[in-house]
Amino acid sequence: MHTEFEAQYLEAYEKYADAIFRHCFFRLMDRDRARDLTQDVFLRTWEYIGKGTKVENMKAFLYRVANNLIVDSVRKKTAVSLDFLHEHGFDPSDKSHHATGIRSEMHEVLRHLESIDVQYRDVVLLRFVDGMGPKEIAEVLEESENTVSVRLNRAIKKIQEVMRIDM
Amino acid sequence: MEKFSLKQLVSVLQKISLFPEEKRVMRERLLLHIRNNPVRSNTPQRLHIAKPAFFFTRLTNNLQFMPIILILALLVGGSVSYAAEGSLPGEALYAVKTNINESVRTIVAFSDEARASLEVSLASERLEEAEELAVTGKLDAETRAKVEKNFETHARGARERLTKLGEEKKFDAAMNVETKLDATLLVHEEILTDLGIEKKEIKDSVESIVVKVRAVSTNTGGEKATKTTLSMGARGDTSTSTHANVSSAEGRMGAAENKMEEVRKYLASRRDTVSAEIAAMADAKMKLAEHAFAEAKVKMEARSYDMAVTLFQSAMRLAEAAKLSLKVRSGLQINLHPQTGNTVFTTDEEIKEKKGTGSEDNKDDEKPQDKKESQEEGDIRGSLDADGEIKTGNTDVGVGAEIKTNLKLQINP
Repeated sequence: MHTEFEAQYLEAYEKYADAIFRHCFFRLMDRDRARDLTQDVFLRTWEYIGKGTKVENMKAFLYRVANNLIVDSVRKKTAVSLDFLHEHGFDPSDKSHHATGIRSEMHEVLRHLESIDVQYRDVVLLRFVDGMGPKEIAEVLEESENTVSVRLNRAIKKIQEVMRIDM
Repeated sequence: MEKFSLKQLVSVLQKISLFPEEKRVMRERLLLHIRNNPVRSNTPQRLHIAKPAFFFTRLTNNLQFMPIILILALLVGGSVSYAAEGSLPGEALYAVKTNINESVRTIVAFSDEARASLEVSLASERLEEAEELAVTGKLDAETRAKVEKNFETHARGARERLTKLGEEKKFDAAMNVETKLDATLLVHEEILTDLGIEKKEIKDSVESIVVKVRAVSTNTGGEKATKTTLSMGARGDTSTSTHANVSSAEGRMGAAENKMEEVRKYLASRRDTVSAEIAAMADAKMKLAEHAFAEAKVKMEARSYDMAVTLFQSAMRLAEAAKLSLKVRSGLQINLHPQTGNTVFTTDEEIKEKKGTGSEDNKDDEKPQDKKESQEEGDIRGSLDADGEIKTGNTDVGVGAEIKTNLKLQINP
């Protein structure tokens, strides 16, 4: 009977856990916190569907829960300094990097991400790293689609300035 | 500073992810949490609440329909009855499920249509139980015989009630139930046959069940009678007219439209949670349904109301089949029986294999088959166009079975 709920839930975990973790990481700049938060996202999601409420769009739902938890978490913690980032934001044994070359790129990128306005950074992450369209982003951030579009355009302009990236 | 492209930027960023170890550990923690905090819902997906088949909507997930579980709980002392719902033949609580839970559902099914619909649901559930057991390799000969017997009882019961509905001139109700029955038989035959192909060790037992399923669908005796009654119904209630009229065709069109919309919403909501193959199978059926619907409308405009009604029925049946197919297949994907808690990891690997990340035997068996399936369903479409009509009822079941069991079948337009 509840076999189906469990099955769906675990499938959603397999499918989205990494993406949620990645999203949390870029917003918190802390691997450990990101991991804990990811777990919280899934715990809360289970509570919600455990009540029998149907979830229309699991992906958007997970991101929304994550977003809310991130916002709460950020409010509680003070801003992370750049040095702290360099010390703790990277796990030296992080196997997802193949060579130091990439890591220094990452440094660069993360430094710039940090410098951009938080709101711009979030939409950029959701758009380019999480691969969402404006409509989905609006659902996740619980804003209007219009607001999101406007913010996206401004964010992209900002990034182009700051990072001198070809878009 | 070096200029780099957006693509590079994104690919760099996307390298961040959980370590496999981290992911696994988290999963175990979540699983533990799930076990300790089971679903508290009172409307689990597989509990078919007796309802007029026509008006099935997402309302059944609504807490509005909780009362039936409360009734069950009151009558039987709550958690036992509830826990029994998911039980399978061979388990202690199975007796509770078949004797008590299902009796209550029968009592609560007030109208003849609801009762007939319930028989169909019960027949379907017997087959689902067999399929679950087959998947976990627990389907022994004795259990299988029991399942077959129970299935036959319910299926024939459904047929009898159908005939009765026809006699009482409740043609709309009869057609709704017949649609559901045909869809159920079609889907389970497909699934059972697929299981037989996937897991060769259970092939024989599965085939035995398939034979029984087919027997019900091509049961000439009761079936012929039903068809006659229904075709009379298509002609409208008055015995003077010899053909279906506009209003009865419009009625069936409305029914088909509602069903198709319901199934579309269902598929949309579940799409993310099932594998691509399962979703594709359901989509293929929906496409056939839409095709039938479109053809039906053409017939209506041409004033061939008999044909229109038949085709609307086909559309409705195919839509129902799409939904049932998704539902049952996704339920079978991971079997999370409390006694075999560890199986969850092996079956996950199976799923990964199915999704093409592994390279075991399963994958080789499955992939070509899936491709063939969608290809052949495309061929059916082709043959439908050429013939200009869609065969209904039993013939569809026959065609479906042919595809699955004889992969070399050439469907000639």
